[in-house]
Amino acid sequence: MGEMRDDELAEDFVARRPEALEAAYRAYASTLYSVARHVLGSDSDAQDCVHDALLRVWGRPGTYRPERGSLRTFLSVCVRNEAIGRKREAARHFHIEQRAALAEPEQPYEIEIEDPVDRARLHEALAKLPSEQRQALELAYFRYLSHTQIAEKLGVPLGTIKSRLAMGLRKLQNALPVPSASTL
Amino acid sequence: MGEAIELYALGALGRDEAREVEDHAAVCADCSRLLGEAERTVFALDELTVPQLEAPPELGARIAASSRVVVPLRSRRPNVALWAALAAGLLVAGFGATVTHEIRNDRATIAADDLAFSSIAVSHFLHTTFTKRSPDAPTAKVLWGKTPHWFYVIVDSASCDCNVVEITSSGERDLGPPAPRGNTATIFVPDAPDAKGLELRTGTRVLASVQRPMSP
Repeated sequence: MGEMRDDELAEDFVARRPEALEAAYRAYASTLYSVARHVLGSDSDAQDCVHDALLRVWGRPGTYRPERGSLRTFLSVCVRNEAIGRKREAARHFHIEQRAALAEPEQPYEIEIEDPVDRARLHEALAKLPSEQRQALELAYFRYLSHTQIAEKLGVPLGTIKSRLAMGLRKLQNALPVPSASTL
Repeated sequence: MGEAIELYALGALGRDEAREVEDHAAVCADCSRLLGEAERTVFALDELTVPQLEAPPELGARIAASSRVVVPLRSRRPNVALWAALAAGLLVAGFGATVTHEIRNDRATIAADDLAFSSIAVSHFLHTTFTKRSPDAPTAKVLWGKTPHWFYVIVDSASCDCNVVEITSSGERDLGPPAPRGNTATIFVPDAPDAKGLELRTGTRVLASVQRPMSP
């Protein structure tokens, strides 16, 4: 099977053509695996995560629709959410670790990005946010905490945390570089 | 959905809340569009922060094979040969189904059974029996997975002229007829968190029913 364009892949996926899932995976394998591996830190866990996330989406018709945007982005977020869910479940099995994580003193998160250009872009985008929004976003995005965990950790009402996360992400939409066309 | 859109994209919701967002976005074009925008932002963050790695080749083979097994719920009668292997696995596990075990050595087939086997092998599940509502109802049972919420229906008749109907709090969903596997007929649903119970029906006539058991 030759290379398919992203819009063709998305069309086949929506139409639920038999080979669409396999084709989508082949096209986005690196993106999906990398996200899962980054969150979970283990090759075998990442493989299980990508496999189960894709099969879950495939088993539920209608989850992806064209209005949602690119199929790559959709699948990437699905895999990321699945990975985060697994990470939290694993933490629940190790209560001591979880308590230790929640008890960590609040300190700036050390963002490890090798590429200095990317690092500068991210810092620049995050610096445009009010500090309380940036803090909530960093705990959600980099530490994979849920909104309830963030509220508990910061001692702030849940509704406030929801607002900070939502506002922060909306502001980031304009502050971040647009993903390259080849990856959307 | 308001703030839940951004929280979903960030992975900051719990599983149940996330599922509500997914279900709503599936039927709402406006929310789906907003969700896509939020997801694009998270994807842009990933582009800056996630090192790109090569995916292991075995993962592609596994997904390719499994995608042929897990057909969408609206599809009918999944591949009989592949499911015969699963039913044989259940027999080995002591569930009493009398089936023909087709041993197929190619890697794709082994991988194709992976999802169903792994669902049964690695998850906690409960076993219930259908209550007959009609004299001609077949004997049937269900395995209910807890995490994730899969179920596997085994009807002790390969020629059962009936459909399996999933009952949820918001309505019902006709899953179609179970597929023959030797002397049984089976149907596997990998993701059914909203199922409250199941019925075997011929037309509109209910042959048998079962409730989803409470978790211990």
